[in-house]
Amino acid sequence: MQQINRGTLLLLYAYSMSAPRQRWPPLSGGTAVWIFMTVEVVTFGLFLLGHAWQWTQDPDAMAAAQAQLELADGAINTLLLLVGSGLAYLGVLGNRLGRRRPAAMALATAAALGLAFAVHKVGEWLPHLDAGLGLSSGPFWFSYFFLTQLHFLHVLPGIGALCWGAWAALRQDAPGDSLDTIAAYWHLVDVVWLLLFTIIYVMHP
Amino acid sequence: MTRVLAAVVALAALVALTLATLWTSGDGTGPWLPAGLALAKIALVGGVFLELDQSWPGWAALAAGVVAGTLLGAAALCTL
Repeated sequence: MQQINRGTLLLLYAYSMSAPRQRWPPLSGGTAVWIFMTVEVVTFGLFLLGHAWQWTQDPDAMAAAQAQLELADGAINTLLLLVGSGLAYLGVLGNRLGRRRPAAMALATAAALGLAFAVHKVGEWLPHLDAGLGLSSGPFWFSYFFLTQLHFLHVLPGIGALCWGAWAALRQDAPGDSLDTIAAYWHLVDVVWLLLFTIIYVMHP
Repeated sequence: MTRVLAAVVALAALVALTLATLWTSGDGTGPWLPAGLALAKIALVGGVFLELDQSWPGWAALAAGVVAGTLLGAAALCTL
């Protein structure tokens, strides 16, 4: 009995050593962009938690300031980024399948939607700036201007990268998984905007 | 389901969830519904577009922890 058990154990050990280990595919876009994305989301997240904390300090002032934001503007910007993010992913898939024209078209359209987001965002800021509001107009407006402008600074290089990605997809000379990296960056821009839109524009007690 | 089909379905769901956020936001909504809708949207972006459904599950758990911590933490702070 003891010999059988020992034999079974030996067989199991031999099998475990010979069986191929399950290998997970690497993170889309590469590890470096994921480290960057994690740091970015945590940084924005901490600022947004600080913003939410302000609701406990002066809820009336926060509510009055939030009421001045047009929710529809935020929703339009959300749709522009979400559709752009989906197209960026479809561009990556098209490139993997060797369909260069559809891939380039998808990435170029994502860039155009990113540009539309940027133009719409500036158009949203202007009336508030004309009304004399700014970073020093209270906690709500500090969060609003600082975080949306910081996000805006992430949008601009993303648009440039998507344009380059479209060109590279058309020529089929994108090095390595660079298109995956560009798309992953654009999804990060999307995720951060979803956090901003929810916590600054929508969320209230 | 192919990745292309999954992306199209996810995109349609994301648009629907954004419209739902717009329609349900009101004075009586409170912070939890918007937080839940945002979590669903980010889960779709992460799971489908960032392909977290294919990688080691620990990465998805880590990402979910960071995003849920931010959204649910903000919602909890709003209700204090």
